[in-house]
Amino acid sequence: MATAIEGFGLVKKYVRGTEVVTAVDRVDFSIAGGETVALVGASGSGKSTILNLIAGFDRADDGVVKVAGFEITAASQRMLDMMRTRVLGFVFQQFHLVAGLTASENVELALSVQKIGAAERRHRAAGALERVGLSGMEKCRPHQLSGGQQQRVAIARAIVSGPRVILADEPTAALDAVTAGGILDEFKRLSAEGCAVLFSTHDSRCIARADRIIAIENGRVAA
Amino acid sequence: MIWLRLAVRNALANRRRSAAAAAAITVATLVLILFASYVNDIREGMKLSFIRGMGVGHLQISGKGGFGAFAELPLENGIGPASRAAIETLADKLPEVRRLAPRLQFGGMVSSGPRTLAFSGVAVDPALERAAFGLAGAVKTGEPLTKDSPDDSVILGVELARQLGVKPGDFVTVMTPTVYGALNAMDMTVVGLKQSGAAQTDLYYLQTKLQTAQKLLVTDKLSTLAVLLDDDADINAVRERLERAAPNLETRTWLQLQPIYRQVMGLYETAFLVVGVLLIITTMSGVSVLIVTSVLERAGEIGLMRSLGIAARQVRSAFLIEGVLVCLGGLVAGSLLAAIALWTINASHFISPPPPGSTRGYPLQLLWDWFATAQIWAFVMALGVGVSWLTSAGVARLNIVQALGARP
Repeated sequence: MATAIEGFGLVKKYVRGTEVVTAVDRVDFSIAGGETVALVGASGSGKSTILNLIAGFDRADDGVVKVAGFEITAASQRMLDMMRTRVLGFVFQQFHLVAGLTASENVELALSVQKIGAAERRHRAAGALERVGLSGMEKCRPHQLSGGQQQRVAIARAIVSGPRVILADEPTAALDAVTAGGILDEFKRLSAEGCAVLFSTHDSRCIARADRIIAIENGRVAA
Repeated sequence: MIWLRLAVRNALANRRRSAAAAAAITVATLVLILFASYVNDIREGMKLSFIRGMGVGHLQISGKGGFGAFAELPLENGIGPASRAAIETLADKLPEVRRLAPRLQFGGMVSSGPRTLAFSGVAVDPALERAAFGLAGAVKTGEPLTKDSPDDSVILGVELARQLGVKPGDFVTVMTPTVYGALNAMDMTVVGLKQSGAAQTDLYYLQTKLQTAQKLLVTDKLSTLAVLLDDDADINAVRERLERAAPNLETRTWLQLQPIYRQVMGLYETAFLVVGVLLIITTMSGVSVLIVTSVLERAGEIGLMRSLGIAARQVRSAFLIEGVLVCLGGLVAGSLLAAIALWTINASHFISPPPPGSTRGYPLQLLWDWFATAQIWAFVMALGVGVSWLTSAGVARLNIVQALGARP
């Protein structure tokens, strides 16, 4: 499979008071399409920062990130928006569903900037929800769903536009073991379809389901 | 559509805050519309009072120099019979002209027994005057002048009559210079007393029949012809045609003859502007705080939208729609309440205190001002949109990670 995510010499520093903290320090990695990779490490080791840099949520101080061939670190805001709309799906630990919208509308939100008719948007959202096992719950508001169901809606939102890369930041941290297993099954299905899945975790059960592990320690790749 | 749905649901989800913002706009809209309606009532009321109530008409015609130029003798710049006939013939051909009312202004002294006072008189054709201005000739006591009134009939202002110590049925002697400069006098019968509402006017007012005044001044001229039109909008067109047809004559519009109208309206409109701006600034400051809080509380939502690849401009539009909805709600509610309040005030026939220089109160009848209402809507909406836009701009510029990390 072709390389889906690449990082070379990634560096990210933060200023905390008078102190400069290096959160990511010359990190290199490469993930192929169809791979499920776990980014592991202790809290504060730099896992989330790496995911944020790949998604373009934050700018690297040095180094290069490429997603599906696009150089994220040099991309314009417009290009980044396009990437996030079509190439990349992101799943947050805290789901980040919009409380005022139904499950279906939350999924549709990811399609709202694409030139797709309302009926087609609804159809695609229903398909994505069906895929994550939430058929019939389209009209539910987030507060009517359990944590696992909310995370499934978040996954449906991430996959609805058919991305080539899925990034997930501690996607199972707020879930029980059974629900977490279901979420990982979904990730495995996505990678079986050719999608590169990179998720951060420090849960050993999740680590065991990954094809490969990238361990991060003090902002560096440890193994 | 999803943005509109999101805006409606967010507005409903933050019901108390949306209601507080909308309520503030409602109150401001209500007050401003009522104030604008009051100013509009004054505007239209004064206009009607000058044109019809005081009998100024839309236009007045006089001979060259008849409006204020120096004249050695009375009516030197008046309108002779030939000119009057020419104007009447022309006016007949102008469909915009409803009526013409001839007038003769004159001054002199009026006495009763040992008391003699100055007067400012106007002589009218009672039938034409009544046809043009209706109740303009109404009197407080006694009878108004009619075409059948005896030639020696005179109407005095109530103050003039009080100071002379006369009442309807009493005799007075009216003295005035003729057009030749000599003094002429005539004994006349007081048939009625008129109260204009302005004490100063009532102290000098004297009215008699046109033919009587012409006899007294030994002339066949008029001072002016008052022109009443069907529509205010035709003033300039009619004026132009009259001046073109009769270059030896001069015309003045009612606004030129009553400059106080513009002064009074300028005063009211300035007050409206000051109150309006202060009220809107106060209201929008409160609303701004609510909108700012609402936007900042949802920084996480903004971060999420940005993380989905939704452009900052589009994210801001979503918040803009919400601001517009809240403003719209307040404007609609305020306008409806204003309509109800206006109807209630008008139905209660409330009498306002007498304005400065007047001796009578007048019924308060608020008059809805559509133009001012549109201005209020536009101004409030522009401010609401501006506040939402500026606030969401700050949040939309936030780093996505920071925005996502923000908690309500």
